[in-house]
Amino acid sequence: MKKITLYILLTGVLMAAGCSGGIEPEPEKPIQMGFGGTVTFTGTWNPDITRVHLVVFRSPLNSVADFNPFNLAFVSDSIPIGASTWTYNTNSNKISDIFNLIAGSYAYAAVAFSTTPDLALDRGAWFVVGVYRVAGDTAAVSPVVIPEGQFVSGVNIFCDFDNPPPQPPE
Amino acid sequence: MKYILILCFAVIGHLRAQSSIEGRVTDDKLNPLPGANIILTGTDYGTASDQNGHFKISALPSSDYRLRVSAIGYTSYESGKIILFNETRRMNILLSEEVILTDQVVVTASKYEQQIQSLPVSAQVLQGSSIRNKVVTSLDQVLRYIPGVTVTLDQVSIRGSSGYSRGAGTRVITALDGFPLYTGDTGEIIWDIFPFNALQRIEVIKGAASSIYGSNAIGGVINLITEDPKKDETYIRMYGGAYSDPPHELWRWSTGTRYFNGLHLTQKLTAGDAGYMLSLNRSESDGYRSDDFYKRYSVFFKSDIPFSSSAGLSLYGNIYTMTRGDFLYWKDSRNALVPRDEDAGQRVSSNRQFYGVAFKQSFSSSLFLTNRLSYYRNKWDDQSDAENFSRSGLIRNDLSADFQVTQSLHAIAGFEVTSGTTEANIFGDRTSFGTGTYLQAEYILTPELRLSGGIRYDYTKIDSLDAENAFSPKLGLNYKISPGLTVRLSAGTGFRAPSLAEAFTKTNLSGVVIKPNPSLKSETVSNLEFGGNYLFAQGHSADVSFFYNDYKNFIEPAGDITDGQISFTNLTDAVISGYELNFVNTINSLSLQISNNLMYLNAEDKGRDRAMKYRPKFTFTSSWIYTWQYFSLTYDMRYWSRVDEIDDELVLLGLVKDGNKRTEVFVSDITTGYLLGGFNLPVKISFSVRNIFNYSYVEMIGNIAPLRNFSINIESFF
Repeated sequence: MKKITLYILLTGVLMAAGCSGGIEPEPEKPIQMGFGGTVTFTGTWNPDITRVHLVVFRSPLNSVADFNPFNLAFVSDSIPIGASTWTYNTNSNKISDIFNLIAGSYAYAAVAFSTTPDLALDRGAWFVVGVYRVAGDTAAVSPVVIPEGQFVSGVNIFCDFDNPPPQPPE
Repeated sequence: MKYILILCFAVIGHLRAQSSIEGRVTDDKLNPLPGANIILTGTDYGTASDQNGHFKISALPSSDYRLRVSAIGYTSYESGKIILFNETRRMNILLSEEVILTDQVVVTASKYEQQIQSLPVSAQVLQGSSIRNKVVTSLDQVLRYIPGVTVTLDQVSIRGSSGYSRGAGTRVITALDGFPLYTGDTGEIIWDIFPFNALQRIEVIKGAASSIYGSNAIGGVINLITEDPKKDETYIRMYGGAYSDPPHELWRWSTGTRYFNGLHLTQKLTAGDAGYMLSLNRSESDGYRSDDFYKRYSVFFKSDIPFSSSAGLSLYGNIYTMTRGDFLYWKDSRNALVPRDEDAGQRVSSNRQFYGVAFKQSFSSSLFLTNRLSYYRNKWDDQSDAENFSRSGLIRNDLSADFQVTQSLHAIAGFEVTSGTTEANIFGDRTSFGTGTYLQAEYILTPELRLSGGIRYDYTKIDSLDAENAFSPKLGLNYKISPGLTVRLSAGTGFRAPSLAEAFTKTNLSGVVIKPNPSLKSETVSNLEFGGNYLFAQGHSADVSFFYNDYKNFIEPAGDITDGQISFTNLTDAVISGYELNFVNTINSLSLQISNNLMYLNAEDKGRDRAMKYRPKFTFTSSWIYTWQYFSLTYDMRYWSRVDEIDDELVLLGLVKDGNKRTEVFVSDITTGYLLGGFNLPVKISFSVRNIFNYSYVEMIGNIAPLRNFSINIESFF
């Protein structure tokens, strides 16, 4: 009978634990604005590459003067060298917390690599291998538009080392 | 004086008055139980039931008695105080099948019948009546409560042999009366395909059984034994039920109640010595989640046709067709019962067929041959963007010889061959071929000591993969130290070839990209098990086992973080070890059977120095069965500890939002039934509540397990 009492106690404890409810819905969180997608690489990687980043500028890069810190809206963390694809999210793949994208239009989103030993905001240190361009868009570069309170997905960028896009002015 | 004489005569008359007790002993289907022992406890009076289950104890002096009725394999019945005074008391006694394993229970772990206590490996048997008492709608609901067995969604694993791979490949062979149930492509088992109302018992063999069952039995075997159609009988079962509202208002997605229902009809007929069984099944559910409905229909046919006293043929057929929603993952934890937008509205249709012919020929009392020829057809289509489809066919033949060489030496040998073809956009057009031959022998050295050994050779060629072959030896020992204490030991190796689905799947399931791995290799295991069983007293036993499995090239799905795609890969080394404790208690005075099981599992991916996915460290199951004549009450409870590892890649890549939400599992089910046998009606009405606390948990990320549901079940046999 002692054994039965023990069984009842044990089963009762586990039954009681089952009343707790288990998985709960995540509390509502405001949507973090930004965008995300996949970067796909084809062609031959330059063996001298030291880093690859996704970079976003607010205004078009019409002259070398547009390549400045005030126009720079976002720099991703480093893309693995040699990767065939890279999935990103601007909220979780940023090089620094200072880069928080807000609602608005971003004229230029590109993937660029550098061969210099140190990270530098010097136009000459960067080479663009892919830009965001919506299929069917006649322009060379398509803007990324983030509506208020939304996260935009599907911002996919194709990079071909053997056939790079037109480079911004130097 | 006159009054004194009258009083004396009355007293003498009282003492001389003779009474009797008569009645009938039946099982829970009102079938007569011949040979049941009927005794009046504390007296010398007693008898046994005849062929029709009838009994009569006559010439009983007037007194008060207690009646005890027992039969091997059934729980005993003990009456309350019966006061007899010159009368005939009629009593109909119903005995329920024991869930408890006794020495008399036989299993076919080695492809021939042996007493369970004589095996060198751990095994579990669940009787058909126990399955019926649980009033299940699918066989996996039963499997979830079998000690040592875990089911993740619909994928079964014995002692942690498998995690979750969405039906691509299995490490547990499921066999129906000895026919392994395959498909040519995935190896996936659909649990409601089986006529589980017509099952006589389920045997679960734990641990690698590759030495006799071949490739897919690396984790164990589930053998479904159907009833023999030995008499004319009709069985009808109807059930209907509904799901509760979700536990969180936020999860409510449907304004209406979600229902499910089913209808089963089994007809057994005999003609001379031949027996036939036809089973028709239909089950439908609205589903407790959006896009999670199903409509399933199946036909099962079995016939036993003896040609002579030494030869006979058994024919099998099973046709199953199904349409269901294809719920992949939840939208997020706030919309846990709704699929992701990209999966909404997806459907899967499938049709499966199995045909088998078993021919048995006895050449002497010590040698007989069995040939099993079977064909499996599997066809399915989904309505995803990729429009996946597959058509596969597989033919198999197994010739085995069972030879009682001497009184103490028993041998079984066999030869198998399988050949399959698959046409599919998801796997490509593929072929597979396999052959195996095996020999196993058991030697009874002394009445207490049994030694067994066996070896199997397998050769497989799966399309463009390299041909592979393997020897799988196994040694076993079973030693009865005392009448109540038995120890067992087994060691061996096992082997499993990858399934077509594991090697060649190439698809995109709404963003979840699965890529092929044409360099996938077979996996092997070296395993060791030591266990013992101690019978404290009649109906009270404990069983303990320790197991250790060292896998090489273990096949598991893994995400490639560089490209976000999933493929099946060979882990360098995986070790799955642990122990299992089983306690079984039958308390006849309370008409109660209790079974408790605890399993500890340590599943390590040695190459990556981390736990393997979807393996809970601790599982505990408890089953309580109370039966009193026509009334039965079953309570089942299971606990899983929170799994350490899941498909992290799917969460990191944002494919399953809130996918890391998981918890321990606490689930309780209760079923109560009443057989209207007291009214001589062969009708049983049952009421069942599953997940009575409406506990929210996932077995697989992004998939909330069934909500609390209520059902009423009516079954009749005549």
